[in-house]
Amino acid sequence: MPSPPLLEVDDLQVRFPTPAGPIDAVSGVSFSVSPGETVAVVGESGSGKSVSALAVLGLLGAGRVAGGSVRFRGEELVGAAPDRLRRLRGADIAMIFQNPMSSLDPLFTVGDQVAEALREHRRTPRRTAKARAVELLREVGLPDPERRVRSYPHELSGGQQQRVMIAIGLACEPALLICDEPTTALDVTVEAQILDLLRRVQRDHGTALLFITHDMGVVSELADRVLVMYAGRVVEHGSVAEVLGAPGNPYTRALIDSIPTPATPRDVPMPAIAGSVPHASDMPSGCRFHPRCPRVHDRCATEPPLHDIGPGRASRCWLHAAGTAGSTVAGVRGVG
Amino acid sequence: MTTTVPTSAVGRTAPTGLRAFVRAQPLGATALLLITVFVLAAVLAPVLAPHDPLEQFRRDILAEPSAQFLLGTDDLGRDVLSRTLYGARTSLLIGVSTTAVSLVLGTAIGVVSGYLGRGVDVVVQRVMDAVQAVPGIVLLLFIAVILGPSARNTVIALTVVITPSFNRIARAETLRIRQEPYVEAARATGAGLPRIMARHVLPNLFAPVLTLGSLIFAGVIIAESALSFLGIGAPPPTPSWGLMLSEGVRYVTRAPWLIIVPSVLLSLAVFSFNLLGDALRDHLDPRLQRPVGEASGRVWGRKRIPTGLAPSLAKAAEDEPDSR
Ligand SMILES: Nc1ncnc2c1ncn2[C@@H]1O[C@H](COP(=O)(O)OP(=O)(O)OP(=O)(O)O)[C@@H](O)[C@H]1O
Ligand SMILES: [Mg+2]
Repeated sequence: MPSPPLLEVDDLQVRFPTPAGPIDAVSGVSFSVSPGETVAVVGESGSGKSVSALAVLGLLGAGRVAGGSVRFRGEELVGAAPDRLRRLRGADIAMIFQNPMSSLDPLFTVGDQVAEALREHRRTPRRTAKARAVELLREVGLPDPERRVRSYPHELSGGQQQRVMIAIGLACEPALLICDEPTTALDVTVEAQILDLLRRVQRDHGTALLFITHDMGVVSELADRVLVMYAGRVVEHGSVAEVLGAPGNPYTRALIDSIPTPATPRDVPMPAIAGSVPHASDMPSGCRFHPRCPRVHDRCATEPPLHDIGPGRASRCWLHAAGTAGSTVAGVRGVG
Repeated sequence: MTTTVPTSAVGRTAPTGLRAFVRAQPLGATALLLITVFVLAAVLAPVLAPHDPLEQFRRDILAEPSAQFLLGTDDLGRDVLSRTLYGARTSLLIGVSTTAVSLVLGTAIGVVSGYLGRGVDVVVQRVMDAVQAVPGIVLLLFIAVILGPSARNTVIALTVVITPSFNRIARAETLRIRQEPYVEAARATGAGLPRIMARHVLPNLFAPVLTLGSLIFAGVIIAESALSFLGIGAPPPTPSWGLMLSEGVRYVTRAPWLIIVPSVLLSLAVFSFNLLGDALRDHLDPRLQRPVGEASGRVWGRKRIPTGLAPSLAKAAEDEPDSR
């Protein structure tokens, strides 16, 4: 990438206190997002996608960044003053969440909430903010925005609510928009519309997207690069075409194989990945995926490093180490 | 899907203003009217009262209602109507000021304690527990006896007893609200603590606090009566409804009007405040609203449902399965 990255996360480690002692929800996570680029983060539930995103904004609640760094436009955000972070949130880095209904305050009109986001960072006069709210709602495709500014969240459909959330996110024209599974709560047609909207927003404003999802289809539609996470670690990253076309890591392979296609035979069970993501308090030793991996062998008893397997591409698996034949994994259908 | 327009959204305006309230909440509006009458009666007591509330008409002791004494006289020959009007001052003043002071105080303590959490929370809540552990009447007696009987001291004593209740509910609501995704979303837009408090926490705990307030108000007026009854409230001869009740009980067979008048008014005042509290709560929650444009009753099957009852019913019908 010629332009310097907008966001650089390096060796991030996030620790949460639990009654049974501290756990590391993610560790050793590194990635970067360039201006205007879309980076997708995929992985099963519990793999640490949301935690990584929230760490960027400094919204970890009881958790804390125990190691590594987060740089935005070269500025270190780990350990930055709370007020500095507060000023960045919404203005330079915005975030939208999975459940639009509960992300809107039920007591205020949507116009109010969009205007609020504007007034937070710019001393926009109330009137101007209201007018701008209508414009923003029009831009995100809310029908009849002049009237809809006075609607309450419960009066909108899920898709419309998510459009409002996007309008709030865009209010201050952030350079980076983090979307944490923004379409998971929506049905497929609405999902397609919301993805279209995000793509258009990105084209019109040059906004960079960090897009969290567990849907490989969405990744291929939307993203330039993809980051595959498993059990708090990055297991593979690279361009979408390369990673989806020829996955380097058995976990990525299994994720891709678990997408049903029209060719998937109906009389055999869906090729799901057996077992589930281990919890941070109960991490297997060695490679974290080895208990579920179809290609497991004795070297997996020690954890593999991220091997560079091409320009801008890496995978965390011993299969890439010298002496092991083949750097991409062949189909492993029928794992489940 | 994007064009799905829930009917309730069409033509709505923000629920503001007295007129909208009257139209949407006729019962609440009636209650408001009654309360206004009570307050006016209390304020205008010197003008309205036919006699001095303390003047004793020695020849008309326990007189039945008549043209001269519209509501009769008590055992000392004092005019019951005049005493009732002046009594409204004491009772309403104590009721309203105690409820208001403890609502503000208890909510502030509960919100701060709940939001800050940790050490502050533990200390504050244990103090509140300690206050609540003492039976209310014992604490009231104790404070009233130490401070001496007066209207002001009654307010202080009642406030001490009641504040923990508001603290409790405000703290519980704060703990709930601070976990809400909309608070997280507000943080993600850069909202700081003051804004989250003012914009999200306080408005969202207003409804339950208000509901508790309308219940507490009833309790306060009754407690004031009890304190007067025990002789440690506003001291005689200052008239208050509670005092009138306690004095009138002795003559209940000979002069029932002595207790009928204050008890009916007491019940009416308490009832009005309960109704008003409920109506306000419903009115301020947009989820329980219907569009102002259709306010004159919704066609429901073949029945027209009166406006006052319709919102909750209409809402139940409109609830989409996916809205929470
Ligand atoms: N507040 C917290 N306290 C303790 N552990 C937490 C907390 N938040 C997250 N974790 C742990 O961190 C791990 C990663 O969680 P995270 O929410 O990032 O998963 P995710 O990849 O976003 O999953 P999903 O697809 O379900 O959203 C989980 O094992 C979870 O138990
Ligand atoms: Mg998540």
